[in-house]
Amino acid sequence: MGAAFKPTQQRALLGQPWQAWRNQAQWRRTLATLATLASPVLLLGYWQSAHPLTVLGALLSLWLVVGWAAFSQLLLRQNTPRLAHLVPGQARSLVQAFLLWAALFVLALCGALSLWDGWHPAWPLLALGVLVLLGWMGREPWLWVAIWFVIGPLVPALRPITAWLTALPATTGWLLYALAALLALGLLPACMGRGDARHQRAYQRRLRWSAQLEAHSQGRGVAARVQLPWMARLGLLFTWPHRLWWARLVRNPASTPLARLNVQLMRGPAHGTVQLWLLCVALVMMVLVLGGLTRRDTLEHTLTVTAGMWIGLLSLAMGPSMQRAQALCRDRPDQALLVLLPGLPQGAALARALARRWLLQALLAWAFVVLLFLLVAPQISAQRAATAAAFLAACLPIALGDLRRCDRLPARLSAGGFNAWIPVALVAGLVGWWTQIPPALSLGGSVLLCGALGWRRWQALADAGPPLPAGRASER
Amino acid sequence: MSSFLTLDWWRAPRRSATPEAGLALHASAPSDTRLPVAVQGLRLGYAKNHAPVLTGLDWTLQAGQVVGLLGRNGAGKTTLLEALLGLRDPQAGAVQLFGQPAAQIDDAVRARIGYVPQQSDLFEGLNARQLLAYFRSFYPRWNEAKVEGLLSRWEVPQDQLIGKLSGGQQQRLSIIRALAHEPDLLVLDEPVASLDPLGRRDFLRELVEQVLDRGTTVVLSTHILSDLERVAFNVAFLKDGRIRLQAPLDELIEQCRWLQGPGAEDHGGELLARFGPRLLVRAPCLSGLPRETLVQLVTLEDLFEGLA
Amino acid sequence: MDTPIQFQIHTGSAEPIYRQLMEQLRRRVAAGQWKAGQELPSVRELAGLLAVHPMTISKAYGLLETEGLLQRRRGLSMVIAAGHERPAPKAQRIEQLRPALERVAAEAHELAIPKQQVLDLLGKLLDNPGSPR
Repeated sequence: MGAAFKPTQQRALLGQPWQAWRNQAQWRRTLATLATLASPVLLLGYWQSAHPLTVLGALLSLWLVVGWAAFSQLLLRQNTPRLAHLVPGQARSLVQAFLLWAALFVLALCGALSLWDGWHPAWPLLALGVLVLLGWMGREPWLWVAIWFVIGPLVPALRPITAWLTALPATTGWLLYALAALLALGLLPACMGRGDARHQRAYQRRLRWSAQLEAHSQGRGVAARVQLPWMARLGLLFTWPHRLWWARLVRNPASTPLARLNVQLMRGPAHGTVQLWLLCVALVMMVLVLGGLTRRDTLEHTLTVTAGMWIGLLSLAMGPSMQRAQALCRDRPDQALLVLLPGLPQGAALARALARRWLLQALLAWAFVVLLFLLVAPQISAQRAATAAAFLAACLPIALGDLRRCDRLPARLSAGGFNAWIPVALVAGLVGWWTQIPPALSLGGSVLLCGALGWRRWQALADAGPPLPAGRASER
Repeated sequence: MSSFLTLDWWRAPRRSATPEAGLALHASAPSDTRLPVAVQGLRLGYAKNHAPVLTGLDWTLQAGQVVGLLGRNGAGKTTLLEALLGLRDPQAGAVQLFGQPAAQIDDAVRARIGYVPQQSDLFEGLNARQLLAYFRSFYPRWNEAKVEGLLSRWEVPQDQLIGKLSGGQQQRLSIIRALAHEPDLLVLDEPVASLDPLGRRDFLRELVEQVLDRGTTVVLSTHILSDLERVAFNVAFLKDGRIRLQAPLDELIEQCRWLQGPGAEDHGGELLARFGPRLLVRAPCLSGLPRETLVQLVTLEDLFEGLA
Repeated sequence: MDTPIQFQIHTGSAEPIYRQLMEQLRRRVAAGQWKAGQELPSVRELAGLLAVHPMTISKAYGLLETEGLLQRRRGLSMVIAAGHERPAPKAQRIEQLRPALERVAAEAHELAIPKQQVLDLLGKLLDNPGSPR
C-alpha cells in the first residue's frame, strides 16, 4: 500500500466510468434518477414547512449516499479478478482511488448532514459506516437481502442503544469511536479484490446474482449453470402457475397455437397466470395487513400508510406491460423458431392477435386494481381519492405499450430500461392532489384518451409486418 | 541483420539440455534465464466430488518456444491456461511464471504477460481508443505505433462502442490489447475462433513477427489445425488431465506412421494409440516389417485423433 | 527474365512444411525455372508472407545449404548455388518423378490392374500434355 500513487492510473480508473457514461449518453437517466430521489425529500420538506437549508442538507445527503453507491459500484465493476491479477498496478490503484474518494465523500456527507441536523461528533463515523456498508453491498449482493434482517431488529433497539452510548464516559466513548473508525477503515480496502481465489469466488457470486436479477426482472429463465439453487426454488414459488399452465397446454391437443406461443414467449411474471397469482397473493397480504392495522387506526389512515402496498399492487398489474419490450428483445433466437409453429396466424394477423392478448391481460389487471380502489374510495377523503385516482389514471397508458409494433423494437435495448412512467405518474398524482379532480372524471378521461390512442395504434398494426423475432425491422 | 536471423538452426545456442526443440532464434542469450512457465504436479478440479480435470500435470516452456496446445472439447485446455496464469488456484502442485509463483506475481512479471481469453472481457461502454488508453496507463512498456498500425490494418473501428462491435472485431481488439505492451509470454485461448480466414492469416503474421522481433514465448490453444501447423513449432497434447506428449511438429509428422495388418505389432517403435486394427506408432522400424503390412503417413489431424 | 521465387505450402498434408519448401525449391531448380544466383527471400520475409514459424524456414534453408543447393552470403540473403544454371541431366530429372511413379505403381497393384493397361494409359497422357500443371 505504500506503493506509488500514480495520477495517470487514477485518471484512467475514473475516466472509464465517465467515458462510458458519456458514450452512452446517460445524462437523461441520471437526471431522472436525481429527480426521482429529490421529489420525496422536497415534498416532505414542503409538507413539514422545513427550512430550505435543512431540506438542502437532507437532499445533498441522500444524493451523496446514492452517489457513493453508484460510484463504488462503478469502481467495483473494474475490479474483475482477471484484470486484478494480470494488469500491473490496477488492483492497487483501485484501492487507492476507493480510499481517496471515500475520504472525500465522508467529508462531503458530514457537511451535508451538519446542514440537515447540525453538527454531531457521530456524523463522521456514521458517514464512514454507511459508505463502508454500501461498498460491501456492491461487492456482495446478498447483503442487500441480509441487511433487512439486521435493520429490522435494530430499529426498536435504537433508542436504548443511543441512550447507552450517550451515557458512556468520555474516554471510553472516544476509544470506542476510534476502534469503530479503524474497523471501518480496515474494511474499506478489503472491498477490492486482488485477483486471488477469494476474489474469484466473490466475483462469480456477484455475476450469478446479477444474472439472476436481470433474468427475473425481465421474466426470463436463467441458465441452469448460473442459477443459485435456493433462488431457483424461491422463483418456483412465484412461477408455479406458469409451469402448470404450460404443462396443460402441451398435454391438451386442442389448445390454440397462439396460447402455446404466448406461454413460451412470456415466462415468469409477464405471463397472465403468474400475474393473476401474484395479484391474488398481494391482495390477500393487503387484506391481512389492513385488517391488522385497522384494529388500531381508522381505515383512512391505514390506507394512507399502506400507500406503498398500493403502489406495489399497481406495479404488479402494469409490470408485464412495462417489461414486455425487454423480454421480447432478449429471446430473439427462440422466437425465430417459435414463429414457425404450425397453425399460427401470419404477419399482421399475428401482431394483432398477440397485441390483443397482451392488451386484454393489462386491461384486466388495471381494472382489478381500479375495482379495489373503488371499493375503498368511499372510506377515504376526497383529496386522497383524487390523488389515487389520478395516479391510477396515469398508469393506464402503460397498457398501450402492448399495442406497439414488435418488429420496430430496437435490436439492443439498454439494460434495465428506466421506465419514464414513474415520474409521470408521480406528477399526475400531484396534479390530482392540487386540483382534486373527482375520481370518475380522471379515470373516465383516461379511459377515453387511451381508447382513442389505442384505436389509432390498432389501426397501425394492420400494416405491421410479422412481429417476431422482435426488432426484425429496426435499423439497429 | 538478416545473417543474424538466418543462423543455422542446429548451430543456434541451446539452453540447458532439453530434448525438445524450439530454441530461441536470437543468437545472444537474453538476460533472463528463468523459465517463462514451469508447472509441476498440477492438480485441479471443479467440485470436490467430481474427478479432477488436471491430474499431476507437468509442463515447462523454454523462452522463445511457440507451443500449440491441442485437446478435445472438455479436456481442460482453458482450465490449464487459466491455472498457468494463476487465475485458478490448484488443489495440488505448483506453477511458476518467470520464477515466481503464479498466484503472487509482482508487477514486473505482470507487465511481461499477455493473455487473450476465450471470452473477451472488454469494457462494453468504451470505444476501442478509450479502452487502449485505459490499459496504456498501467503498462510501463507500450508500443503505440504498433497499436495504431494494427488498428488500421485490422480495420477495427476506433470510435464505435465495443458493445456494438461484432464478435470478430472484439476478438481482434482483445488481441491488440494483449500485444500492445510487448509481452514476453503470450497465452492465447482460441484467439481466432471468430475471425475469418484472412483475419486469421493476418493474426498469424503478427505472431510470427512477435516471435522474430522479441523471441516471445507463445502458448496457443486452438482447434484450427492449419493455423497450428504454420506457426507452432511444438505441439502439446492434453489428454486425461496431463500433457500426453510434447514434441516438435515436424518430427512427429515425419516419424509417426499408421500401421495395419500382419506384423504391425512388431513395429519396434513407440505405440502412441490404437484404433481397432490400426496402430499409431512413432519411429517404427520400417525395414523390419513384412510387405503385407499397410504403412500410411500421418497428418496433424491423424495425430490429434490418436493423441488427444 | 527470371521467374520470381514464390513458395506455396499446404497445411493438413502428411509432408511437414519445411519439406514442402525443400521439395518445391528442388523441383524448380531442377526444371531450370529458378537459376543460380537468384536471391531467395529472407527468413523474415518468407515467414511473414506464408505466416509460418521462422524456424521452419530456417530449417529448410539450412538443410538445402548442406545439400549444396543454396549458398549463404555474408550479410545478404541466401542465393541459389552455382552449378545449377542448366537444367539437371535427364538421369537426375527422372529421379524427381520416382515418388509419383511409385504411388501409381502401388495403386495399380492394389487395384490389380495389369501392367500393360497402366503403360498404355500413361502413354496416352504423355502424348496429350494439355492438363494444367
